[in-house]
Amino acid sequence: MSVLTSTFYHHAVSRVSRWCSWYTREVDIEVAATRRDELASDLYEHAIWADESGTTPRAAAREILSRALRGAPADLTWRHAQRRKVALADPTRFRRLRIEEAVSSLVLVAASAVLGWGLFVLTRIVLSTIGEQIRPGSATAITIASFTALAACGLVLLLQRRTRVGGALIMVLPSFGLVHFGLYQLYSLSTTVGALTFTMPGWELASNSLIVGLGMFFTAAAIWWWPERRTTPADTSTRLKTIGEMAR
Amino acid sequence: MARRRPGTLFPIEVDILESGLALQASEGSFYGFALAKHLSSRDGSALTSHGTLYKALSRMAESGILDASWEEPASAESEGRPRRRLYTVTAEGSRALVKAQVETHRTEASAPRIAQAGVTFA
Repeated sequence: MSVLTSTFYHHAVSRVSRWCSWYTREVDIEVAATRRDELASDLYEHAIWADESGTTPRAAAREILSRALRGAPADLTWRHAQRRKVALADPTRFRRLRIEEAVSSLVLVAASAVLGWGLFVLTRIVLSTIGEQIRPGSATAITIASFTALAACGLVLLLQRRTRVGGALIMVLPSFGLVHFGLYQLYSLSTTVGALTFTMPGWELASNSLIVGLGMFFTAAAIWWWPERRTTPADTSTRLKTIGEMAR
Repeated sequence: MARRRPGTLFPIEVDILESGLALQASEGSFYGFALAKHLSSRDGSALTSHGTLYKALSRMAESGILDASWEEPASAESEGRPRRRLYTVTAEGSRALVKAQVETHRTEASAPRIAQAGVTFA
């Protein structure tokens, strides 16, 4: 069996191509295409050479992956240099990208914190149920489990660029549910929360502010990411026609 | 990342120019994988990694040491393979290589003297 038609080779090529697509994203289109085409040629020539030299498909695939792995640091520094060039050519776009990355990171941190809180409360509920402090399957416990599952869904949606608006909107609900019902449940399970509820005069105001703050934060993120209305070719031709008529 | 002094070459660039000139003498030009094979056969090492090789080639083409152009699609199609990016060493590249080789010889020549001086001082 030749290297070029072997499954080992195809798997290796697929992995290297995926890696190449990843590190050439957001790089100048022409430069990225040159790198991809040059790599495609290299992978093909490698297979032909492996066949001629009697290398087994498995060994050839291993060698290709090894070359890709050893070159990964150089690929990343190349990417950094190319991105820097793009940034210097268009500083406004670069600034926008930096803000975009900062917003994404903040939203992901907040969503992870909400999910983490939900999991913490759920763990306390499970431990208390095992210790027979509370009866299993209470309405509050089921509500918290549902909101935790919703927060997990929201976080998964936030990880994808296409679905992050939906993810941000979904996160508004567990932000309310997990803070409100979580504190309510912990009131009976945690000595600290119980003591804080009685001793801190602004406790309720603080928890309500947290709920409103998180809700507003996730709503603002959804608005920030809301897809812009694209101008269709029909719109453009109508506008050009109108301009033409006005000129006449 | 290593920084280059102006007018100097990295060791990988010296190797590429030496192998490139050898391939250019027989084939007229050279391409990435042919270069990787030649570099590997010179010192018996593993094939140069993709990242190191193509990063160096693009940097050298940008700085004018190498000339790069895509092969004619017809010749690649007739052989049923992807197009190769063909490189040639420019006159500037040849000059840079000679300069680097002279500097290397000078450093090698001065090294034993330093070692001898070290023995004398000891």
